[in-house]
Amino acid sequence: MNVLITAAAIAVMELAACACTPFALLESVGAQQQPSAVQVKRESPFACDTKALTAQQRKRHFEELGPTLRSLRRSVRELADGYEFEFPADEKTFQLVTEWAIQERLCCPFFDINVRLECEGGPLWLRLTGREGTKDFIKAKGTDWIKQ
Amino acid sequence: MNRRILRVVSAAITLAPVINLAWSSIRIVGMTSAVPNTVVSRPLKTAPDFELQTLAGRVVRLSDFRGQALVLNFWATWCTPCRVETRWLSDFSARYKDKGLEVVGISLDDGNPQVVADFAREMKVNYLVLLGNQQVGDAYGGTRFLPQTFFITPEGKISATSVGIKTKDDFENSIRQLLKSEHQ
Repeated sequence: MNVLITAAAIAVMELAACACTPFALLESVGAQQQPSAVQVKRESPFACDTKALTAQQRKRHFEELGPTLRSLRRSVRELADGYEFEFPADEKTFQLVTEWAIQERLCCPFFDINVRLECEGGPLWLRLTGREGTKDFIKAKGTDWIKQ
Repeated sequence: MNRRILRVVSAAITLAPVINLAWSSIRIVGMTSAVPNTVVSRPLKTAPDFELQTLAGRVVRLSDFRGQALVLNFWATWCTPCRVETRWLSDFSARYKDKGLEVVGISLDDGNPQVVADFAREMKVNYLVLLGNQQVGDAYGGTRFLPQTFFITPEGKISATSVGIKTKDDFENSIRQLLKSEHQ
């Protein structure tokens, strides 16, 4: 009889584990944590996440920050997997670039965004790269950004 | 009797890890293929009806398009990939209209409708643009990501959906599939 109770208890615990595992996995992916047991690759679509920014943030991002940064941009470098944009390295521009970047990564999470201050007082670089298709996406989306 | 119960419990113990592994694998496959492409719907679901206004203020319903193959595109003026698709949609609308295709764009902008009208004029949009709202977006699954396109048969069934931008060729292939299914 004891064997029966022990076996039933083990079965219940294992079935509970069955029920929990997918949710644990989903949670770890959603929180962008490192899954402990299974490596889960997540790729966002080449699309805009409508829930990422509020209407006010969208206005700021698309109607204020974007045009301002495009007017400040000094040059564009084409890379194998994206583009790099040169800006003056003053504090105000740095703040604008990082504000734009933090919003852009919410709206378009497939971008690798790299903000770099070059040594010896060099310029500020904003690098946008990503998986295959990202460069084409920038080309299609940002003709105003990449035209010299 | 006890032996029978013991056998059932033993079987459950043996199978539980297998079920666990299989279930986890299903979820992982689902997540790793999270780059939405064009997804063919099987079985076909009925496209939710709606009642929306055109830029001119005319009321249009989805059911008005019954009998026509329909490309229903959710977009917004601030969504830059949507801008790219807008050009494609105008091209497809011109090329496939005489083959029975109707293109309808539902704007999910949350501001002044004039912004949508100005955009449509600037982009020389040659297809019908409707002013959407949250309710219609929710009826079509939330439309969290834009652009999002539903390929609807003349019977009002969703034959395929597409989330995000792929290539113009991919889009055109989906249109051809839709028109092909119309003749089957």
